[in-house]
Amino acid sequence: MITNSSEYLLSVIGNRTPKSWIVPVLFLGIGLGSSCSSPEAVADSSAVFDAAQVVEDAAVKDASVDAAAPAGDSLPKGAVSYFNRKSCPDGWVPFAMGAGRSLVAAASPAAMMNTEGRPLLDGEDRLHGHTVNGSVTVPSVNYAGIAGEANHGVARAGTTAMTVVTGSASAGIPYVQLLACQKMAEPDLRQRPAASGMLMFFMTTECPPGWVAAGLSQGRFLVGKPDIGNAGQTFGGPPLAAAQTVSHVHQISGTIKTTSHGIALASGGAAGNYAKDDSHRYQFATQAESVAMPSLQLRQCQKR
Amino acid sequence: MSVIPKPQHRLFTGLWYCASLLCAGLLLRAGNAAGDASGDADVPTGALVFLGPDQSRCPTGFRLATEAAGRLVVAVANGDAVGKQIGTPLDSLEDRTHTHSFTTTVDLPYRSISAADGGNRQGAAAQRYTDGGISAPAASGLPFIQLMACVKQ
Repeated sequence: MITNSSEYLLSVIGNRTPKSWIVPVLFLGIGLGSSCSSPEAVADSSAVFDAAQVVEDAAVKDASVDAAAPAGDSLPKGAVSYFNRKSCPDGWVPFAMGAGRSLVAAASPAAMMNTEGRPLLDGEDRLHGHTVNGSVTVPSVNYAGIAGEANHGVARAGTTAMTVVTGSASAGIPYVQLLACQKMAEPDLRQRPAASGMLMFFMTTECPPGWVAAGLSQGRFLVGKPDIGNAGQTFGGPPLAAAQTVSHVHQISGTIKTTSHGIALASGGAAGNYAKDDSHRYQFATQAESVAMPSLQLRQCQKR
Repeated sequence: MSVIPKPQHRLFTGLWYCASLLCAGLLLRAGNAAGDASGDADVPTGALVFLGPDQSRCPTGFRLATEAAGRLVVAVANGDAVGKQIGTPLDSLEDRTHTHSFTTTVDLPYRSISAADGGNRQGAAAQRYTDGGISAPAASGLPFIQLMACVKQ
């Protein structure tokens, strides 16, 4: 009858062949080594080193289950990434702050966390419109008569303000909706490091060790490279500054075709400044407006 | 002749073997932690990552993110909204333009003249005129960069 741990240990060692306990103990050692690889685990490891308990645990556990099996990922804490999956992985939480926005690499620490525009709703194709201040100028004709009452049939020549209404339109900027998650867990150093050249957003002002601030992508919306084309090419406007609303204008042009009004006077003479019946061209620009593509600027870093 | 009783000798030997094997395990694990990473989870499965401007191929274990080709990515917090695509993909370096419909209205005011209506029709009638059309196209003005996008498999 086994009465204490020493007797139990003797019974285990004495009654089993070496093959039956070498593997569990070896794996246990590997597992302990894994726990000791992180600073947090070091503090907790002392309680584990009781010889009898070690053997007992090794006997209970299935040796085929690798106690050092990798879990998690090697990305640094604070990383923010898109995911094409329904839920965030273990160690990550939904990045609510970015919902409805496209993440943009902050051009400077001052630009960190800058937001622009209202978040998009699910599937929203954001519309925008423009206000316009326009006018049309109509040349003059003269009559051989006297200006005065009481025929109000002919228009006044000169510049007259127009009322311009523009329709709302989408900017047609295509996007795909993906889950955004923020890493809350410490990196799992047992996993291989991120590939060199990989870009990652971070909720930190500085890049983690092994990462450097992204260069060319700073202040720009990221577009997946199309099938045809080269990566790393920029287009569109200049990079975003810290707090900047990007806007655009449209040119508006057209023709006002007037209708005539007959007057019982000859042309020419002293009565002038009457509008000429003709086709009158107008052209002006709309007021500047943003397409309201919502963004959030974060630190973006590139793996060395 | 041994002076140690047999049971105690067996206990000592057993403990010595256990300690040796534990140390071997610790050394094996330490070797991995020192840089010989054993797992391939550099990023979680499903992660869509962009690569730096000088990168033209997805890393091992990643596939090309065709779902993001020619598209921006907009973050969502609801899993059911994931994967939804809006709009037509951009061609390479396409700075997408758009237009607006518009209508114009102008009221030309009258200018009095001391005359009756008659046959000289050189003057324009004082009334409301309207016109309309489509604005000239314009790009958004937003800055873009096209990059390799890859998804961890």
